[in-house]
Amino acid sequence: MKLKRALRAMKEITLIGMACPVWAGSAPAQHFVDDERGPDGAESFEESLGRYFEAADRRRVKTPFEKRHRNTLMEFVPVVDRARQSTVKVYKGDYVKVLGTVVAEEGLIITKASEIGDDTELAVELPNRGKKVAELIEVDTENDLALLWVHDFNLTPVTWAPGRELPVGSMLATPGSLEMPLAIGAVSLPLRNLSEGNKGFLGILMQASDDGEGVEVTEVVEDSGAAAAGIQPGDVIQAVDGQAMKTRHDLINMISGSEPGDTVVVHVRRGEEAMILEVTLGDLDSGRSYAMPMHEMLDNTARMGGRVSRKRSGYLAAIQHDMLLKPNQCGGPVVNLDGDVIGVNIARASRVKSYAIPSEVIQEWLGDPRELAATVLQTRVKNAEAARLAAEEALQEALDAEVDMRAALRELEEHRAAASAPSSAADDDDEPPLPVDDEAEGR
Amino acid sequence: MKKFTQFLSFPGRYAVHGWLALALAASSLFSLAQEEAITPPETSPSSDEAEIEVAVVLEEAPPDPIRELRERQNQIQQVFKRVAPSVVALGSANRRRAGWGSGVIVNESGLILTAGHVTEATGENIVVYLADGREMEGKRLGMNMHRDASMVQIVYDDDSMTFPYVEIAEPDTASLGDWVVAMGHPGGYDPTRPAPLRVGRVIQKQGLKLLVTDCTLAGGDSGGALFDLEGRLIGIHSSIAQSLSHNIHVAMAVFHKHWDQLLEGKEWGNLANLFDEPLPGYERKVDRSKNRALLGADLDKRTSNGVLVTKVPPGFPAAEGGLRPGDVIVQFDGESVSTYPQLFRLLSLMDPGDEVDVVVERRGREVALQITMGDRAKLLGERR
Repeated sequence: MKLKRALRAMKEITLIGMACPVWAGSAPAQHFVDDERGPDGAESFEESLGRYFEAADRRRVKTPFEKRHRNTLMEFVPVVDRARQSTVKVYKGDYVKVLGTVVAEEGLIITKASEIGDDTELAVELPNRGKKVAELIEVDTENDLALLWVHDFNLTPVTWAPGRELPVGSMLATPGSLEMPLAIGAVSLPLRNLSEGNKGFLGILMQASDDGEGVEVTEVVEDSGAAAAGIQPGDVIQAVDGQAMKTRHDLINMISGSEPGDTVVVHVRRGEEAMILEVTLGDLDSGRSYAMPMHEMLDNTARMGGRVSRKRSGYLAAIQHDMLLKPNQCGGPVVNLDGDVIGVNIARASRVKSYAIPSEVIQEWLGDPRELAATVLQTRVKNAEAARLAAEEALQEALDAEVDMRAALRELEEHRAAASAPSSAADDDDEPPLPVDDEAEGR
Repeated sequence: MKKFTQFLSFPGRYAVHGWLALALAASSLFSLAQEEAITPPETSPSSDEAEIEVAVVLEEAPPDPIRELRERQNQIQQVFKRVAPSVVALGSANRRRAGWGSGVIVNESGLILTAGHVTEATGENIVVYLADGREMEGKRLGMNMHRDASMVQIVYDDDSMTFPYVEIAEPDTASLGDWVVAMGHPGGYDPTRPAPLRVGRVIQKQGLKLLVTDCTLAGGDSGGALFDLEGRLIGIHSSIAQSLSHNIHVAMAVFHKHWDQLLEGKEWGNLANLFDEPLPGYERKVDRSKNRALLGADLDKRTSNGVLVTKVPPGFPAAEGGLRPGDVIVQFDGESVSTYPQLFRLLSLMDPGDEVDVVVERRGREVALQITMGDRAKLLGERR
């Protein structure tokens, strides 16, 4: 259902938003429309959409001038040469979930927290060194960064670029495990604060009402705040929190200025009946933005081109750039033309934008990497010591037990020897051997 | 010549130096034959002098391998500074219409170029959001819907008022492969940010009418501006297709041709025939209904930590893409692969003609290959 609606909305792009004759001419894959999960095992309908567009992208041949073509990427080989040594793949089980950035020689790596989930089954693959088990040390939820530790004391940490803001238009590259970069691009905007980007979500589609006295609800999104509060298609929203809603713009401005979890009081007219309903707003960024009125058409074009990261907003400071990444290509370093690291990719956000957390923010979070490494190692050493002590205790117990058993056994043997020596030959045959004897003789 | 060097890019330049060194060793006559590839001496001295001079240059100052990139970066930064104040967002003055788009000011009295479908959506009365945050009133002038071109005039009383504007390029100045800068308001006007910049290259020209670039655009960018690295306006954003590389711009020639009609307010045409040619990259597209993709290699189904290639018969796509027996496939189409079922899933998503990036481990080193998937029915049919 959700998929059908999203795809229907997309077809309208041809009429309203960006004219898109190619899309209009080719029907979306039927199996995809009918299957809410998608045949690709995608976890969400958004991921399905992304995969659909990635497949469409793959069905063509990259022409030699494209910035994703080998010819263009090869120009940047000397640019990513150093930072490539500090780029690692982060595994969850058998799958590479995301990239990581080495920040200290003593095994410290940072990555995108929301892609790796909990601390189980984590491993990293170091350049030329194979896979190693990783431990999750710390998470910074605001910037979606995780600090990992691997048992290796000879990693190559990144060289951070001198801390000054990059002018818009500065060229960037994202190193991968190969000689040529994964993607290249440029800084799109001055440093942004995206912590307010998390907008509230009411959960309706709407149109101007016939009499111009409010906004008519045309559809209510399943599981949304509006649905939970009992808003129905055909209702006319007349006011929100006491403010009159004359137009769609009024309502959009009102709701987009609020935060997920906020409760708003909605005055609704249903036929002749006036009602007051309380709606708890959902999260626009949690994958339902397509249903947001007015911007929905625009947002769907922003999906054309591939999957986006599930978490892609809320950062206090982010560098917006235009490198064409996949969600699992985030977490690694971003370099300027000097080859110095200006930040860490944190999200693929839409067709036109990716975000990086600037190096200053990361450096502030980490503090002195050697001190941090010392702290982490102190804990590891303490743990190792505790483990050693426990092992020593267990060993001692085992030794004591062995000694005790040997003593007991010896006593028994002596007892038997003493018993058999003075007895007659006839007695000897009758006496059953002790079972312990059999074991002791190693039969 | 310019296009050729860009195409050769980084590896090409080293090849040239290689030849030059050989030429010097063999005979000084050759150094003259190679002169164009490297900066020649201003005057033409005797051949002995030329030999010494070039030799010294080679020893002392190996060229900065990314000098071209630095120059390009500098140009892009300058373009942004020059054009950013002239890029505007357009909305409808009628609050019940949902149109959103972008535009660019092209003279000091506030004439704006934009896309036809933008002013069609906004209606005649338009709100112009200037880069400095001011909101101005705008009036739609002409619309050429055949070519998705339109003009808007900012309306104001104060005669002394002037606007920052950009220079319009002559018709057809852009060449294939040129680096370009796109500006606009994806997602609509957002007071918390200026118009974001994107870079890319011209990858197709459809006559004098359309440019296709890989500067990614999204809804709201329509009517926004495409610049060359001199900062001249060469296109107006029009549309996109599914691929990230298909971003379509109205070329400047369209505005030059119909300038007066647009200025006078003439409205004509429809969007039905905007495209003359298929978008780039679909030339080798095949009918999907009958074919299935073929890699053409025998794989070990039991390995983990990558899939071992056991046999690569010649003439099949795998062999032609450079895959060899003993290679271990560790990455396929950008996804890492450790077991056969993972690879099989990815293979089954392929179509004949798909160009796929494959990374293999070969003698302990990772090697990147590009393999063009074959047509199963055709390849296996032919061999029978």
